[in-house]
Amino acid sequence: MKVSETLYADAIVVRVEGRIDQASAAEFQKHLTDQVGLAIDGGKQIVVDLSKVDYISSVGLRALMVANKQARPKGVVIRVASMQEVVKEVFTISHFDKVFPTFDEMPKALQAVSALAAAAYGADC
Amino acid sequence: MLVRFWGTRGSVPTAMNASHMRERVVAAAKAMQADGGPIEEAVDRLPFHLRGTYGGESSCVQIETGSDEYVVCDMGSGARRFALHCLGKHGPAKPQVYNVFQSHVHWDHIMGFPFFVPAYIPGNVIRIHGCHDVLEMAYRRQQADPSFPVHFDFLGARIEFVQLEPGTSYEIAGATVTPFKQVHHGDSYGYRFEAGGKVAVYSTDSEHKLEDPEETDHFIRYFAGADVVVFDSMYSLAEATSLKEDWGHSSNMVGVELCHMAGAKHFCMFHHEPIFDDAQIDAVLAQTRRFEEIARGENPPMEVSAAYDGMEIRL
Repeated sequence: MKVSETLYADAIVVRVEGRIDQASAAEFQKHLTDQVGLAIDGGKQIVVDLSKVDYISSVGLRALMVANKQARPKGVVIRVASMQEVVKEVFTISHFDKVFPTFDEMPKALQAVSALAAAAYGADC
Repeated sequence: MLVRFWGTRGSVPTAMNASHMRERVVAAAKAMQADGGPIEEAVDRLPFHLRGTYGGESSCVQIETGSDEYVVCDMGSGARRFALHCLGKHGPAKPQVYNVFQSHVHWDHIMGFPFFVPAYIPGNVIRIHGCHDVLEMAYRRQQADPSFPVHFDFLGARIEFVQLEPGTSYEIAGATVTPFKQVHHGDSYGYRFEAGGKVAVYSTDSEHKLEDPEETDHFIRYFAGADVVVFDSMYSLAEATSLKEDWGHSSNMVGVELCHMAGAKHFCMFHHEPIFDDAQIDAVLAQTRRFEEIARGENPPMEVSAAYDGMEIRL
């Protein structure tokens, strides 16, 4: 699994590649915790780009939930975008789709953060 | 070996009310009208939530080991029907031995005992096995004033409390029984039953986070190669990791993952959320079967079921 972060105006995009499972969940968790901390301090929002994630297990989802518990009380929303069909199914089965705002496409997730974030993302892509 | 479910609901017994039943009859009638086939065949083609019910009795699961002695896990409200089954089979005059294995003594797991008729019949022997040192106190207390009119001391059967040690195997009623500690408020214990070359695991009221590899390995060891794992899958993963975290129950997804890791052959969802109606449990079952396919990886296909009151699994 690989994780990287990019700032688009007031949106921190966390891009993940590979499987988020027992072997990689701790690393995923650490990235999320760090980025949520930065988002809280800097008044940003988080968008997690899962377009290159082919599977997420319960421990990966748990990492997202832990980050959400850290973020929500401080006004930071974690949005999840561009899930592959299988990952989307896992989100539905786990009911995580009832907890996290989800978006089929990254531009829509960025637009939900702010017009500035969407414009910055559009300029980069 | 045969596993027979007398109570499968979590936390508190539930029952359908008149309006629920009417809705069901209407939905079933419409489906059968559309089917157009002979009534009995059309009924069989209805989804389970229209032709049957998961039931609403709390935890009570019988395990037939081939022994003349009875083996039963927990004495939830399902124990009342279990008693009727036993009395119907033998009549009240023929003494029997009942071996109860107690996961823990929260009320929904002992509340059926005051209505367990064999306890009132002299000659019967009831051995209540468990790892808690408060078993007898809990059983006695629920039949003390002002909670129940018949005191425990007036029960006619010989009732023994048998202290077990987790991680130790015992030969009881034709089975090798190994209790193991679980994660629940006040602790709970699962049981691995081995008899006739088959393995059934009863694992209810336990929370699994899969964060601690040692803890995960502990459960994998007791689930290993089981022919069936009866598993507390009360919540969705989202509930189990948020609002209901540390409530001591688990999810369907974590159950599937644990059973895959343990090489179990059959994952049986148990301790159903009492607010769920039959249609919701049917939907959870369908989703869990799909998740098993998604998560399977290199594992062979694993059977997935949702326990209902009256269900039997022959191993």
